[in-house]
Amino acid sequence: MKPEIYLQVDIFAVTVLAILFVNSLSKLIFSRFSKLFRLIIIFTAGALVCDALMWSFNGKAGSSTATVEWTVNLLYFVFTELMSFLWFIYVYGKFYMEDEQNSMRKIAFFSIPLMLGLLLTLLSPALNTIFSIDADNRYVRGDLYFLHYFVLFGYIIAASLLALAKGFKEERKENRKECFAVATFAVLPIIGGLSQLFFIESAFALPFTAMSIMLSYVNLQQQSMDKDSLTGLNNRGSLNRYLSRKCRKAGQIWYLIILDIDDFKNVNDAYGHTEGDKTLIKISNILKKVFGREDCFLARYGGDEFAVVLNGCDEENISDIVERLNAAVESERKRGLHAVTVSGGYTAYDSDRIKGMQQLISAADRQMYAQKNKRKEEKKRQTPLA
Amino acid sequence: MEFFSQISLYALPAVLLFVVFFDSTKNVAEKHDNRYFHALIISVLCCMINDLAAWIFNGAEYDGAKIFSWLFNILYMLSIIPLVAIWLLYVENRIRDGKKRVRGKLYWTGVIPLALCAALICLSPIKHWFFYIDEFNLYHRGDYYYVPYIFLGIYLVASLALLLVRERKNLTREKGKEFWLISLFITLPLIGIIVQLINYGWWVIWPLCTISLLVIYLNLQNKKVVADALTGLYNRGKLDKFVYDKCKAASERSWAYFIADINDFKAINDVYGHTIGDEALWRTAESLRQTYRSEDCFIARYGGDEFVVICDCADANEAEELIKRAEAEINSSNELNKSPYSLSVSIGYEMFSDKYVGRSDELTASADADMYRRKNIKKKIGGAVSSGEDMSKKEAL
Repeated sequence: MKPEIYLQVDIFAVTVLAILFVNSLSKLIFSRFSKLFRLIIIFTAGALVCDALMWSFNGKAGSSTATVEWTVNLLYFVFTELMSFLWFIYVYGKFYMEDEQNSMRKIAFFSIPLMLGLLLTLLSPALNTIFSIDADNRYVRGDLYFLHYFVLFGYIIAASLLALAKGFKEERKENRKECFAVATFAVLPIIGGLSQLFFIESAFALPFTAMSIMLSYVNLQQQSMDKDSLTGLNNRGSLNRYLSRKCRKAGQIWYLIILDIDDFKNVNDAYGHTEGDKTLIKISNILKKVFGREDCFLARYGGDEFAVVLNGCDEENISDIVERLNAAVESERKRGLHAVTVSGGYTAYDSDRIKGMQQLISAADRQMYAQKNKRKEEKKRQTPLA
Repeated sequence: MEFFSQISLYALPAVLLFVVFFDSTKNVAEKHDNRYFHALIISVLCCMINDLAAWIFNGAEYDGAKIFSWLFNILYMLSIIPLVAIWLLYVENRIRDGKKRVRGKLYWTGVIPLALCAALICLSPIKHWFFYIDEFNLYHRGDYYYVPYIFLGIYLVASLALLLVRERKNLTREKGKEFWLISLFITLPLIGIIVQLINYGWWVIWPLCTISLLVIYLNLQNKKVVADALTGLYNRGKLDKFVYDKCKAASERSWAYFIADINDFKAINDVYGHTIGDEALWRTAESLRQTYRSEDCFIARYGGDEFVVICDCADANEAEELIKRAEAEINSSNELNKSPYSLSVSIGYEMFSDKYVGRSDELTASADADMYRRKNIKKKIGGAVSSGEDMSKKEAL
């Protein structure tokens, strides 16, 4: 293939990465992971630029060309190795990092192959380990060339395996999906890498990696879009999407529960919005705990309303779960939650009886208000007695 | 050889387009915008596929190869025409926010140049104006090979200009920004056309088109990240960030933080259900948008039934004036909608001053306190006929 083709492929990939980088600066929700992600973008883009330069200088005459070739190739190998290592750390951190202290030691341990790879690369000018530049200023593969590939793909494949392992252990369907999405990162680089290994002519490994990065970026953005920033539950938009998808499938039995904090307005009015927010966070944590083990979808529906979609359970089960929820709220209340109770109503989705999402929500809503009114009546009855 | 070069060049853009396509189908709820965007992606993919197909047969010597060469080269050039049309429709749709319009005469005259262009392309086997295939089945550029590209490029730019002139009056600031962004990124493929016409070895039109689509897609996503799903106003996350940034330093222009709260929203929700409750939220958002339209205002949904407006405001008098206007707007919305409940809001505010520099939460708290003070005054005035009790009476009946 002509060098200008490589050049065009590289320029395209770098442009895409640059766009993602700029976008992530202002739009990606801030976390230490988004910082790591940006570093991965930078190293990949750097490697692509080196790749483009490599192809444009390869085999050109002149003594300074050799120097350029050496530097550019060295940088290329260093960048790609760093990129794959950071990807591994990114995945590891995302799924396995719990306490800071211990994990730093682990990261140091994981970086041993990286150090070896970097060492071999930097020895290349002296010992031709990974590559060398011949008298015609042409790039030649070194004897230990395959070791570079080992390091590179070792990390990328290990990261995918970590994500897969986590995915199989994960109980909640949503989280499982996320793990598997991360695991697919390796597919494109492997395809590109294999084609590069067998036909020296093609150079797809890196540009395909750039596409993988773009894929995971889009995933990351989608996730932050679906989450409610206060409680970390799904937000209303993603609930709507989920329900409309689910309502189109007939035959399955599942429940929609709508929960509403009783007298939440009073908490807000009496203690201010900050306390109100804290209450919301506490309640959503209770929801996560109670429903965590079920196959379900949790969302914040509106101000003080939550929605739960429960799969694979029956009438008996569900009243049991609602009982458990009330008990959990009650015990939290004793531990200083502002005087708050939760009313909930639920409805089974039955495609013969209920048409569409709106009807389903209204039905669950009615149930919830019936429950709420019943509770109010009880309160009224109790107060005069007391 | 050319074929393999081309495949390598188009592999990445194609993968990228597929990713964007499938990612955007996940958002089932986003109705109108998606249709044109999908069509746009598909038509760019079509152009690339036709281009590749034309190269497969280039120089092949078996029987019938020549016919396919002609066919795919013509198809390739033809496939650019729907792309231009869809791009225009997409831009129109976005700046009109999916609202239907009456399509006048001008609209249909717009089809004529495109049809003419298509007809001329189809004449290629007879008149070798744009390209021809020689006896060895090799592709050659014709004498006027640049004409269709230049023509379609000019057509696109001219139509966009026309669109802008016609829609200028209805264009809000935000929509205007969007228009310029999309237009700016149409220039990328146009640059691609020029590069490709001058330099034969650079097939950059479609990769550049892909990049344009990527930017537009990310822009769409970004908007969703900061928008509240129900009202379309900014959401809490964006508000927090905005206030934090605005409070970083003292500002030369004085501005105020308004907080609006729907009165007895809980009662509306309890009596009429969530669907009507949502409608009340939506109407409040719309009224706020109407009130604070002309000013450079930032409007967000703060929480359940609370809204925040941040805008330039000279002094307390102007702030009071704005509050009155918002209340009037909501009253007229009540008359207009004939809803079973009567919507009203309490609005409080706080002027930004030096003491709030770096203390955005204190500013929020002061505005909040002001709002509750006013709400309580209202309640006292309202006395026994407060709408909350009114509603529970209705319920009892």
